[in-house]
Amino acid sequence: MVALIGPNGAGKSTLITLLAGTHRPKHGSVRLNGRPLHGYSAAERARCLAYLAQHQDLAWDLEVAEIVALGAGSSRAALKAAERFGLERFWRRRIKSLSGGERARVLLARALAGEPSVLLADEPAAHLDVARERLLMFALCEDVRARGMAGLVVMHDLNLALRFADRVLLLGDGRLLLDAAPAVAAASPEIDRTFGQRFARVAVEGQPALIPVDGDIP
Amino acid sequence: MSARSLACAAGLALLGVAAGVMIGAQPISPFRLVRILTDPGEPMAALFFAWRLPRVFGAFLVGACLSIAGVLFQGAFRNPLAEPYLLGSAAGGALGATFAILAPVPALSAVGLPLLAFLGAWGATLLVLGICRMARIAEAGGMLLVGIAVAALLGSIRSMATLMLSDESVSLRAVLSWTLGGLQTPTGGTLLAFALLTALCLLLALRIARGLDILGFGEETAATMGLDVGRFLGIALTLGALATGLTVAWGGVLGFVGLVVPHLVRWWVGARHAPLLLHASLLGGGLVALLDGLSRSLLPPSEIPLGLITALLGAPFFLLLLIGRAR
Repeated sequence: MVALIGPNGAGKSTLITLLAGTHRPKHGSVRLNGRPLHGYSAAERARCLAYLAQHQDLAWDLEVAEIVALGAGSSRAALKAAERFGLERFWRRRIKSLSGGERARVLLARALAGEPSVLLADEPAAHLDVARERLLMFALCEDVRARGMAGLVVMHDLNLALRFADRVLLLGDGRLLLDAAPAVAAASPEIDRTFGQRFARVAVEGQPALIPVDGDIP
Repeated sequence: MSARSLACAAGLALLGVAAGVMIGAQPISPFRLVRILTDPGEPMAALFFAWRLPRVFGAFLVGACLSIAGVLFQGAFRNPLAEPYLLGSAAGGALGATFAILAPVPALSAVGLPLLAFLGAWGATLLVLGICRMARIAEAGGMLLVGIAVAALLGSIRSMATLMLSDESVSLRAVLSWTLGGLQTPTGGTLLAFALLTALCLLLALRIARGLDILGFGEETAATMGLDVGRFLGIALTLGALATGLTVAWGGVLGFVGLVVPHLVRWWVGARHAPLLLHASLLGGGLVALLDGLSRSLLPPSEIPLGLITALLGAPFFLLLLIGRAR
């Protein structure tokens, strides 16, 4: 489980769309299992990679069951996903009648229903309140870890990244500035410099946490 | 989708067709209809089978095709307000049809009319899509404005061509009836060809229905779900243009059916495209069969152009939708 953090405009979303294969890099190449990603057909790529976009503007008010089935490929896989993500309660409801938290859960289930080997997610919990955000991240991490998948998730909340990731990547101005375990990343002054913001380091119940404070950057 | 809702849609379609058959300049009572259908000696039977029934079936197919085109365009543009008339596709089809009618070669209009109508509809659709891409327009309102501008442009080209090319009042009338929307009474052969092409459109549309569902997540997400978006859009819009071309060739320019019917059906059976296509084609067919009956019977002995009736009923519906979206 890898968290991708960085200030606005650092290139997080660009990187993740390149990795998802929806955009092709001008330089360099993206490889999946040693093969260039653009050599995969769209269907092949979809079997290995799942992508959860930041803004999902849904054109159609489909039922939850229909949405998950589109990601799953078979109705059995869809039902399994419903169980994994606790969607049974609103399985036959239309998505636009759900709350933001429920909707995000359905879209996550859609992405993971096909049991891909890699999940790429761009702020999947954006616009959710603190509790819903954590709930969604719990569900996401549990599934990614349980199936031994690789997960790369863009997160704007640094403390959420420190809490849920096994590895934190810091991106600034299109460059990788830090690649470390959460505890190491939390202590690095590189975070303050990249965000242009001073952070106080604290440990809350054994968890490293960053609190933005006034003052000059060290 | 349930078999029950599909049976219900088929029943409603049958009602529309029955109503279309019974009303007209000479109304036919249900009893008389049964007699005509069972007794070949009935005095009106010959007229009925030669004129009224083919016309009503033609109307049914036009309505079915319009609804299929509406569903396809709405799915491809990810826009519930897209439809052949508002997007300018029908105007493109009408331009093609006009050239076919006005061409000095009479033989051209039999095969050339549907073909040119299809090419016109296709070209207009691609033009709208291209302009939207170039101007980075993705939202419903902007896309409709592009469609309206393209429709206006093609409409004026068509009017100019009509004025310059038609030498007798006959062809002018023929072109005008196309513009306002009016059904021709098809002969057995053309009706069969039309039915087969409509069935082909529906089958092909059903084959790409799942792709339309996936496209609803947005082009980027759809691409990561295994859809080759560029190629898929090309196929969906070509098919939509084919359906539009068919309706224009046989029914002229009919607005709003392709908008109203998919909307109503979406409320009823949900937004998944496969059931939507099946139900919408049945209900659209029934609706246009009924409206065509009204166009023949409201002001006898003359006919009200069908396009006027569909606009009269469809435009207020469209406005209500716009108000509903703003809320």
